Amino acid sequence: MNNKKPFYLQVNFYLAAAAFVFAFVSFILYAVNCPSEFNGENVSSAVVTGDVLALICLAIGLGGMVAEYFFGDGLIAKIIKYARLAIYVAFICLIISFFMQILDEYSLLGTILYPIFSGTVGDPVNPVLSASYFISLIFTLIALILAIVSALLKKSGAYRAEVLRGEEC
Amino acid sequence: MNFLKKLISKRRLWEALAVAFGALLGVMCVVNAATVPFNNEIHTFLGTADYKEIKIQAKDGEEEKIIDRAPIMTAEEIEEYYRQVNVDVEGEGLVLLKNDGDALPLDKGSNVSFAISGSANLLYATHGPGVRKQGTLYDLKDAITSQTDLVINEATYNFLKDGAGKSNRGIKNGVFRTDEVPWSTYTASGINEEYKKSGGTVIAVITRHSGEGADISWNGSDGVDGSYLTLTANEYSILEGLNQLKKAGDIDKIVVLINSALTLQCDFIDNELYGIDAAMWIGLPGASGMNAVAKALVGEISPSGKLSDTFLNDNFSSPAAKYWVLNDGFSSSYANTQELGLNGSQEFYGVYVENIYVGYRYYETRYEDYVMKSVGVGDYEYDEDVAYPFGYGLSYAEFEYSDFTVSELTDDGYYNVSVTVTNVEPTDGTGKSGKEVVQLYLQKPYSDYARKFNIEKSSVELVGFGKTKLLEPGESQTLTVGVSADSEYMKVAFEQLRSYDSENAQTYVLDDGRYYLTAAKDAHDAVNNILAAKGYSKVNGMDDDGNAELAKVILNQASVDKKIFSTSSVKEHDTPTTLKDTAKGTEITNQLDFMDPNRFTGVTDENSSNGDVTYVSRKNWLGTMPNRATNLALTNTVTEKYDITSHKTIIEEEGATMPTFGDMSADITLAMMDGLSYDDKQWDTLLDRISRDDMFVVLTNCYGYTPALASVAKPMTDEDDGPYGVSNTAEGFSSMSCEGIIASTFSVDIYRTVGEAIAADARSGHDEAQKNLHGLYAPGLNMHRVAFGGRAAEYFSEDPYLSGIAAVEEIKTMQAQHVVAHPKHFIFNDEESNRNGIGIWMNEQSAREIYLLPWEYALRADMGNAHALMTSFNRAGCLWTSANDNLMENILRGEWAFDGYTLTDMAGSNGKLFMVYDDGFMNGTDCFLDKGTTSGLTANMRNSNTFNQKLRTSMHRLLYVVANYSAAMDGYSNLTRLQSVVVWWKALIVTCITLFTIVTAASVTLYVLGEIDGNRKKKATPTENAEPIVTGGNE
Repeated sequence: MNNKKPFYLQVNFYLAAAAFVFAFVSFILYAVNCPSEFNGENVSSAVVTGDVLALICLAIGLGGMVAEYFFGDGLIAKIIKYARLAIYVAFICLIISFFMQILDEYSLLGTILYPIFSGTVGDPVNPVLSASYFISLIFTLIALILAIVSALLKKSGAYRAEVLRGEEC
Repeated sequence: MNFLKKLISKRRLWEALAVAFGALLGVMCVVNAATVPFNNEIHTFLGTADYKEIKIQAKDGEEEKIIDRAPIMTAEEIEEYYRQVNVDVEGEGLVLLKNDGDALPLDKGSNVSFAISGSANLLYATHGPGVRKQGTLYDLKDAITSQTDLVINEATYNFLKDGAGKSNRGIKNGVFRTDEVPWSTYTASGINEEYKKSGGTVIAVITRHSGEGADISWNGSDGVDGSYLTLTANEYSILEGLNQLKKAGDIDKIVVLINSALTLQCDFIDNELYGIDAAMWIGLPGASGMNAVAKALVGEISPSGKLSDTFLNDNFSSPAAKYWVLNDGFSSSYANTQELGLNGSQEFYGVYVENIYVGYRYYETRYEDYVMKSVGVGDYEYDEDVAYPFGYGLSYAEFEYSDFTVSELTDDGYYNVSVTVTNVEPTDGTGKSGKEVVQLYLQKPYSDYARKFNIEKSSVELVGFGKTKLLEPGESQTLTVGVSADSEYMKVAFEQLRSYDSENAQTYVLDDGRYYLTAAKDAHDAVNNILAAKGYSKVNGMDDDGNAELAKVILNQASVDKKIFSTSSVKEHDTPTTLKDTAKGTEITNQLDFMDPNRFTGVTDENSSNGDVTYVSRKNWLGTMPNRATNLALTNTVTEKYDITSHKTIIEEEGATMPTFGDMSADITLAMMDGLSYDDKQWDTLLDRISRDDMFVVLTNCYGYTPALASVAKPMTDEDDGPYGVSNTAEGFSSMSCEGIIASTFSVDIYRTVGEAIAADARSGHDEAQKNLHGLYAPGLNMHRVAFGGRAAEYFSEDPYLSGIAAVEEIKTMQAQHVVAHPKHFIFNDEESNRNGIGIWMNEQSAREIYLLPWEYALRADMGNAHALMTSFNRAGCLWTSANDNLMENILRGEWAFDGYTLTDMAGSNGKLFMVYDDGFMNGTDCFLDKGTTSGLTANMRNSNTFNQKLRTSMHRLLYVVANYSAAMDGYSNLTRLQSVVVWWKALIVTCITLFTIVTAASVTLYVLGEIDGNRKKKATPTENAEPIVTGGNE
């Protein structure tokens, strides 16, 4: 235990946790429901890689926040100070995942959007596939926003703490 | 040192920069990834290219030979010309269905009002590969105002345009609906009073949508029987309300215009409840076609179009439609779908149980059999099914035929026909002028041999036609070959007498018996003529006395020549230029057993006791008309070649060697190949220059274009959709009348003009990106098999001959302007339901005589000679049509000698499970409408000698067409070379990625160094006893 504010009282912890949940659900929805005739029943390796890396980095970030509370200012604390960087990396991975989900699935997206813009019925797309794809896309977007907000809050908190610490000294 | 310390102390800055540039780096990486599949689209958008054309210095004595394929019209000239063509086409194609008491033409200066929302909200073209952008469009009011002196009741127009009378029609939850308002809305809005005020004529326009991707709703819609093609209760109420006004003397006439590419069920037109005086089918008129409709309303144009489809009183009466209903609108799954684990591209199938009896072939044959009291015909009421027969159409003038003669078979294999047409209108100044279409129908004998071996014969089939010039009252014209373009098909080729016998002879046969030829006004008239010639009359149940004078026996075949059209004998009857396959020694024999459930062991009908499907046969109409759904199940008893799997084993051909790739030693370019035959040895030298990866990427990247290829100086070619007009035009005048209207002109001259106009438009730079197009995915050649086919607007007719001739003439003029025609979709893509992989099953006779025939005409060198084609999404039997060498090689190239290239439909879309490269290239597909990369070239493909030879052959076919026919080669010469250039936006992306990587890495490094430095300082000032710090809840 140390003199820092407990992680469970920090907003950024919950934001990062929420980002993790959204990213996880997005990943599962994409990986399980989105292999289809539009991608030869394969999912995009870029999206999967981006999601997995993002989840690992978010886990590191969350783990760091928890560990920070328990391990005080020792060597481990010095290392886990960089956990914020992990969330940044997660954010970048999620950006790549989001855009690659559009790029690599342009056939599916085009088939869904075509009737809307052309005014005709268009080829039917399995509703589970369609819903999974859009939820996955939206959840990835939410996750990346939450991740960056969490990291920025943590960043501003850290610098503010440093300033306060400096004033006390 | 101090500077560095100062630098690393700015940790917040470095952290912010690291995140910002890291994010930018991520985005740029995605952008970079996007440039691979969308390379050509970005180039088109930005007006850049990966290469530039240069001219090298001529060697001593070398002469520059420039290829001249300049467009015939400029962007400035095209619009006026094109709009006029649209008016001409619509004017010749609109069909007058009814004109009681000479209701039309309307009196000069008379009053007109509008009813039903289509009057003010027309459908000009379908979406999808119809015309997407619409600029200045002429609606009915614009057209009447600009072309006539009729007086319009504006209130009725406004009521329908934006008022309470406007329908909210469209597609709701996947169902086509009209959502027309009822008559009560008219009365509540006081519009009924407006009709009274104007009196005169009320024009009611009934509109029906259609388009790509879905068939028309046959149930669940708001038509009175659930079909979208039947009038709704509200539409009925409006017509009834109008009739009440007419009966009360408040209005004079009710004129109905049918604005639909589909065959609206016409049971209402003659119903006395609605009091309709005149009705006209205007199809989808295109951007300017309504001007012709307006002219026809006042008699400036005398209608001369003839129906290109049978218009029915009951759209569910044909055998194909009955099967449609029984099998849930072509959405049957194989019985063992679950058991076999079939995916969405494999599980659906449809059977063409109607046999050859599509459209009029069913109605007219059953009618004839009814008159002749054939066994099993049952009680048949022709009038209950058919409202207007195929080929039907009134004129303001009356015509009579005489002097019908047919020549002996000529040396070049034709029966030449001659008919005199006379306009019998009074010559006292009150008579009307007009044009008449003479239709030639053939009846082949339904012999014992045919019955024994299940060869079906339609009572009549269209085999020729001619159209007169505008005949003044009393004027005559003798239609025969040589009189005009419109009389060019007043002849019957001997090969048109053939029938396909898939059971016994397994080739085309000339059956024994009498072959009748008749000149008629429509298909029903033709049957009556032939029946009259056979001695039947109204006494026997005919609904009209035919004219025996207009029917002749042109051949009385005494003995069966079972294989008259096989290799050995075809030369006797055909010109050397036709059926080149015989020159190649290819014998015409069964190719499609694998898609006939009754001849293929890989499928069985579980709803049938013997596993066979029942095809409709005139041997026993009652016993063979569809009365139960099929329930096909796939069996595991066939070889891999014909099973439903994809990525089949690549079988090495004996003696196949690995071709040469990337040998640049010979200085040869594509422009040098102009004029050389396909078999010229120089092609090998040219092809040697191309690397395997380049070949693969070019052939799998034909997504509305074919990419440039610097190694042989091949330019990029641009193509666009456009069965009835270039799709992506910027100005929006490019929408021509739909293909059904084009066909119904029955005018060779119009077919040629359409091809010329569309090609001129394509080349004039009116494409959205102002591109000069070099190819069009046109014309559409699938069949109007049932009324509910979603893409009817893009296809000509229910009749293969009419479709074929329209295509032949359109393609010829299109390609004369070096716009490569890509007729589509080869083949059996006559429905949209489950089109991505649906398996189509039928027997070979119907495949050849109905569905393949227009393609044979369009592709054969002596006919349309199209240089390319687009394949379809569906399967033939278990096999994707484009991965089937029986169709793609044996029939297409073997029998028809097609030497162009084949292109898939959107393989990059939802066909990735079955529209696969290995199966396609191995079986005759040349180009993929996809965004391929070298990652698609698997080790199996790379290592196979045979596969690489096929790839090279495909490249050869594409290059042969571009070199010899494509407008893209305009201005190229033997001195033209393509030099690769670094385009600015690619350089920008690489620069950004490099820059962002450096800044991100530097920022991270400085940030980490700053953190380490901060920790060291902290160590020097310990804070162990400090209180917990509150930092706004975040640290």
